[in-house]
Formats: sequence, structure tokens, C-alpha cells
Amino acid sequence: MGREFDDGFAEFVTQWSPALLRVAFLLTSDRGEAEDLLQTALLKTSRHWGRLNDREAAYAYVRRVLVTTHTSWRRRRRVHEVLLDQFPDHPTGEPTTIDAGRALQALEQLPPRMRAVVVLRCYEGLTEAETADALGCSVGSVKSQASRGLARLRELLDQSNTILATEGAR
Amino acid sequence: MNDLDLRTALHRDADLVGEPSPDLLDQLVRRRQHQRRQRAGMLTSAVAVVVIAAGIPIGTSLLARSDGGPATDPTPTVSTEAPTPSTATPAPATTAPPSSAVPAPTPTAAVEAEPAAPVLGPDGLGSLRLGMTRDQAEATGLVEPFRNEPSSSQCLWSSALTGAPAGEGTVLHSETLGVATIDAYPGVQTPEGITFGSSLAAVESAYPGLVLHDPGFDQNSRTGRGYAPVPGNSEAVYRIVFDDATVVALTLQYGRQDCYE
Repeated sequence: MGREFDDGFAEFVTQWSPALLRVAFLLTSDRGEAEDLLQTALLKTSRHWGRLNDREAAYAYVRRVLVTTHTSWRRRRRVHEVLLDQFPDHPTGEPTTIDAGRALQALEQLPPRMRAVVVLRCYEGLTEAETADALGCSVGSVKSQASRGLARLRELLDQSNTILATEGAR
Repeated sequence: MNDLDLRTALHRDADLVGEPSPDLLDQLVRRRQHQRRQRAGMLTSAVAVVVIAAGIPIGTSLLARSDGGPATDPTPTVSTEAPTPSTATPAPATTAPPSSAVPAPTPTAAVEAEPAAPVLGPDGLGSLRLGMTRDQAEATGLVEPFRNEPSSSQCLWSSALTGAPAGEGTVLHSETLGVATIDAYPGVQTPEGITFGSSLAAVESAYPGLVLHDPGFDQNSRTGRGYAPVPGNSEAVYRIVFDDATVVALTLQYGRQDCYE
């Protein structure tokens, strides 16, 4: 295995894949799809590994591949589902959307691009410009999508809180 | 719900995914080997097709279409999506009528012609101009009503070009500059013919002063942003985003805009 990838790649995967998997999970809501997305992003990155300057740049690179690959998958959903059949290695019986929390369920109500903006801004803590770089879009688009996405997310979670409070009072 | 609550909720839910599979590296190795076998198989097939076709260019077409989907290399040598225009720069929309005695074209020809693509630059888009107040911009009918959005910058109001797909064509208004940035959307082009899908080479040809941002542009993947001077407007620049050397976002903005970066 050591000869399969360039120096340092395996260590990078070991160190950073837990954080990257969480980002993938917030984008997909599904453990199996998140793992597939992460693996795909890591494989794409491995081909450019020797030219990435430092580990921080590598993390940002994988994260960008993660979000752009996810957007691409959304466009080619049917192709993706066919390919998944070729890789039955995913763990089964893991938590899926059924077990997901309320923030995750609220995220699912957002369009894919808006969801990615919210995850990168609010979860990863990127600036508007960094988010635009990661998504390959204009900063204006990030500004408006973040504003609307966060407002929608708060609205959904507040609604959810109200319902829970009402049910709890019965 | 405040920002901290929201952040906490996202972190809590992200943790629901648990840890990556312990054999993640083994899985990566298997997928890489699988891809290599697929590529080797495709290459063999493609060579066979080329030999059988004896010069008919179907072989290269099949090779390009056998990319294999999302689990494969993101930078195939031939793209089957997002057609890239040639590097030749289309002439601006102004087509001078012939001055000779040639009869005017018949009206039916004009009716059948496709409407011209909206042009972004050098001063704005149509009657919408950089520097306009919100009222002036809305009066053009080219933008949606502005929305107030909390921001740490001077740009507290944003709008979108009417007709733009959701999330595209954003227009930002600065408290100090007026309309400060106008985003293109697919179908909009610059006077020099640059649009979504244009190649990096075409942009460099149209705008020799293009500066690719460091570190905002990654030379390996030819992905990231650059800035080009706007011919005919020394106060403005084009902010252009590339993905794999192809334009995926385009903004006309004041060089001194105070909305971001």
C-alpha cells in the first residue's frame, strides 16, 4: 500500500479524513454517500499530491474537490447510482438520514449550492471569499446564498423547536 | 436561534457520521487499481475501434465518452460537457450595415434571428450601470428589488438580475459606491465575447492584462480566480473564476469595490 501513493498521502488521509468525512456528511446526509464522496475526492487529490505545497493547502484542495464533486454528482445522479453498484464496500447499518439530527434535516431542505455555502461558512468557518474560491463562484453569489440559506435554516430550526415545545407541553 | 446555536447544532450533527472506515486506505487502493484496469481496458477498446474505423474519428469520441463517471479523474483530456468556445473572439454585437446599394434584408430574416446575448461591460449590463443608486438600478427593470442583508462590509444590499437562474446574476450595492458588482449568468457575455464555458486561453487572448491571483489560482488544476482590466472602463475589472481552465463565474466590478476581498 505504501508504494501505491506518494509520500505523506497515507498520513494525510489518516489525519484529516475524519474532518473531511464530517463535511461530506453535512453535504449528503448519508454515511455511505459521504464515504464514497470522500474516497472520490481523495483519489482525485492523490494524482496531484506531489505538487501540493503544504498540508493546509492539501486540506483546502480536498475540500474543494469534495464540494465540486458533490455538485457534479447532483447533476449526474443517475450515473452515480449505477456506479455505486460497483463498489459494495461501504459499511452497512450505519446511521443515515433516519438517525440524523435536526440541523441535518433542515440542511436537506436547502438547494445543493446553498447548502454547501452554509456548510463552508457556518461549519468550516470560511470567509465569503474563501467559500467562493472553494465553490468556484462569485463572492456576490456566496453573500446572497449565505444570507438566505442561514435565514432559512434558522427558520426551519425555530419551527422545529416550536413543534417540539408544543408536543412537550401536552 | 443565534449563530452560536446554529454552529453548535451543525457540529453535533456532523459528529453523527462517526469515524471513517478503518480500512479507508485499503479501499482507496482497491478503487485506484480498479480505475487503472478500467482505463487499460478502455484504451485497448479504443485502439481496436480506431484500427477498425481506419481513420474515422469515432475512436477519439468513444474514448472521451468512456470517462467512467464520478469515481474517475476530474481532469479528462477531452471534456464531454461545457463546450469550450474557440479562442477566436467574436465581434461585438454592433454589426455595421453595408453601405453599398445592396438591398436591405427582408423582415422575415430579422424575425428569425435569435435575440442577442446580454452584454456585461464596459459600464454595466444594458441600462444597469455600476455606480447607480438602488432606486436607479431598480428603475431599469433589470434587477429584482434589493434585499437588505447583514454584512461586515460596506455592501448591505443585494439583488439579482431578472432572468438569471437562482443563485446567479447577483448585484451588490455599496454604501459608498452604489452598484459595485454585477455577476454574469450563463448566456451573458462580455463585449469581447467571453462567457461561461470560455477557455482560459480565450480569456488571455481577449484580455492580455489578465492577472491570475496568487494563491487564489491553482496552476496545477488551472482552477481559481483572476482579474482582467475592462477595455473602455479604467475604473472596472472583470473578476473571472476558472474551473479546469474554463470560465465558471464572471463579475463586472469596480476595481476599488468594498464588498469583499
